[in-house]
Amino acid sequence: MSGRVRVLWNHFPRLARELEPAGDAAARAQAGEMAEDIREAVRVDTGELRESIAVGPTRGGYAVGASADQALSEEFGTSRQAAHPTFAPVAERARGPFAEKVATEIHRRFRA
Amino acid sequence: MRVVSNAIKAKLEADAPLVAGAPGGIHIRRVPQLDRLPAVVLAKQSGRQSYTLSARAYRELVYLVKGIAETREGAEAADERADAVLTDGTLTLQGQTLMRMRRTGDVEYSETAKEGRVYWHIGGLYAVGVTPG
Repeated sequence: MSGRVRVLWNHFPRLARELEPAGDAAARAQAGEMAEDIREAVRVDTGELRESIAVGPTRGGYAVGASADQALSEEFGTSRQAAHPTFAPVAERARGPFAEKVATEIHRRFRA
Repeated sequence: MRVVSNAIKAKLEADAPLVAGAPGGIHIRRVPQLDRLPAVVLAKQSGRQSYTLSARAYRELVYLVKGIAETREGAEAADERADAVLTDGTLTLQGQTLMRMRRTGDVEYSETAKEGRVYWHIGGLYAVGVTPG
């Protein structure tokens, strides 16, 4: 037995168009939430480190970073002080929700 | 995850070239004394649990393992040896099985301590997956 299937219409062209902006919107939202979570979790002495946490665009995405000098020593420790990681746990927790955010954003755009 | 931390420490301590290159020893979280360097420090950075419907399936842990030294070369050498020992290496774990252990990122920075000494911190982040049993 043999047969032929002819596709008359599908969502693939629209999906291809929407995928990149949906991913971008989800990534921007996720990075913003991560920055907020890190600000809440980071140890505060003068507030300089907390205030320096920011989101910025990178090639193909967004990065959450901190410009304060003590950012690296807080995250990874010094010769006398143990590490107090905040970026790594927040990034780890965000992995699952990020995939959901992309899916939600695609659904939202298709319903619109 | 004390079990995993202790197992990584034991693994590193069993490597003769690393022990020779890091006379300050291998420590969890921080170096107790700075009079003998290079030293190696390991610390858990993050952890994530995954479950089946009724049980814990596996844990994804991220460990920092770094060399600390007063010279870049000293810290780098300790880091390179630790990488050779850990990436795709084995661990002896009580009640758990290692699924995989791989370096996923690099860490490198220097620190000028209050007394003016410069310490180099060079190491890597390691993804360690463990499952019960």
